[in-house]
Amino acid sequence: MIKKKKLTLYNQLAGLKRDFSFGESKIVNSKTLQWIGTLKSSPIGDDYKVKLIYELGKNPNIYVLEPTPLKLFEGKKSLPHVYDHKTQRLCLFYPDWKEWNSSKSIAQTVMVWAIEWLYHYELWLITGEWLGGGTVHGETKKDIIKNEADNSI
Amino acid sequence: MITTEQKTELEDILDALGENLSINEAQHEAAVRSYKAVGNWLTNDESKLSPYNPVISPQGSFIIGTIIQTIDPDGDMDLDIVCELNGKRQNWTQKDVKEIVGEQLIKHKKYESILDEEGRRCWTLKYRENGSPNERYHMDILPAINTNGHSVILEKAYSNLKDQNIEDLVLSITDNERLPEYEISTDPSEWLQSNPFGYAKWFMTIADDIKGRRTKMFSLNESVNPTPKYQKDRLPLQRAVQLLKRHRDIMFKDYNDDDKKEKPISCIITTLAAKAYDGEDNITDALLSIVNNMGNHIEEKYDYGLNRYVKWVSNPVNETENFADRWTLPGSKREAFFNDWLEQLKVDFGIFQSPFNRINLSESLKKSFGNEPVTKTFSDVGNRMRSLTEAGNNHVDRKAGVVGSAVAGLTNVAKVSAHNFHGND
Repeated sequence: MIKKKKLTLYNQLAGLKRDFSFGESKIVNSKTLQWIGTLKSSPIGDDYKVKLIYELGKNPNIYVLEPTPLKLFEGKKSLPHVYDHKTQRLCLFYPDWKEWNSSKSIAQTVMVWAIEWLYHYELWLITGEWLGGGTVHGETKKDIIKNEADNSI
Repeated sequence: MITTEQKTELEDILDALGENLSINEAQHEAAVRSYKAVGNWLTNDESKLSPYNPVISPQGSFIIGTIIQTIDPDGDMDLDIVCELNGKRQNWTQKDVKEIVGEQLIKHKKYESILDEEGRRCWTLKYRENGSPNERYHMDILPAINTNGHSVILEKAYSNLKDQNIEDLVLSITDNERLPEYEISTDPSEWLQSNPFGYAKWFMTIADDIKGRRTKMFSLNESVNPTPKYQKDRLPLQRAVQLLKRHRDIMFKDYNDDDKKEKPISCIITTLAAKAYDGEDNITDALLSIVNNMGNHIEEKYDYGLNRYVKWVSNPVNETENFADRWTLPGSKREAFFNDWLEQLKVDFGIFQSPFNRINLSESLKKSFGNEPVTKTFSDVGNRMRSLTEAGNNHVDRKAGVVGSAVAGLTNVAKVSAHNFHGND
């Protein structure tokens, strides 16, 4: 089996400049890649100011900078699929399942998933249900059942 | 103005909404079972009708694909049925025909128990099967006679309705308010003429004449089949009529019971919508065209009885019939209510012409069509998108966002690769 080659910061930067040229991408402190720009959830959806931070050797992170705070569905106390409400860092993939690794293009994966997150976030605002699928933090069988119960309106 | 991508997304939402307003497959099957059972009872050998081979078939919104759910959880759907006799005994009057059909219904214990008071032209069975919401409807049974001795629906309509002359589909019906003819006339050619299948053909010909891209199919021949299969897809005009009818139901739901009876009737809405429709290939444009033009298809004709001009909505298969005849009744609020409704439509559908986002669209749709079906619609759309991602068929336009599988014409597209929304530090 051929092990896929890790992509360098510059490879990732080139990918973002090609696919997401409408945002500002740069390398800061020689080991961190950053992209800041506006992503839209879908043609009839809203715009969000988003920041990507990718430090070599770690997982890439995406934050919603604006609006802040993101609105909640009436009656819900927290956003679905975020690590942190304050920074609005999005949970886009499950690291243990190797859905993303450093051989994968950020522009083709995480950035696209962020758009999809925004889309399902807006549907959650309307329906109160997270319809994008995925796993739940610290998930156990009990949690899954509880989560499904919470989501059924 | 909205972009092509926005219109595509809106179309998916309106189509899903229409689907949620339609009767579902279980309701369709239940309705077909019920009218077939009635048909079997009316045709059985001991029935006085049996020599005239009655054919029971649905008519109206059920066959033209515009039937919708009621908004009242305890409400009944209307199912309009024709009981078509192939000829009759020569000396039978209108009254005889009507009563023989009624007598045969009463001989059946169950039908007797659900038979409503006699209507002007119909017998009505009020189905409340086990309280199941799938089987709660008013079945209006219209006794009718074809004068040529061959079942219109079996011999003509079903074989290929499209090739038939509308005049060949005419039936003679009874009317107990037309005295004395009701009690004395034995010649069906003198009776009130009705053409439910001609109307269906007229409507479907317009619905089917789409200028542009056809993405959905609906078969009228299938829907007048004695055992029609459930058809899920609808053409833009059919969806538009469903949405208009639901908008009316929501708008008038809090009016008092007397006023509610004067809300715009489905037959006027459906007819004016079809007259105003101009072959638009999507629901949004169809709705806008209809809302802006349907008022122009209300004519004015001089009524010599009243000595004044009256509003006139012609039955397209019988120009002498005015669907708006009750607008002239003393104290009628019908015309005013129709105009109020049309004004409200212009306000509510104005959202499609101005910049909007998903959230205010959802709020506006909830107001016009009700919370429950609209929330369900957005859930359906979201679930569909998740399935597309799981199947490897979902896409984003990097600037415009999630676009699903409709990527034709887009240049900045990426496929959404498989992933799970999660993560840890």
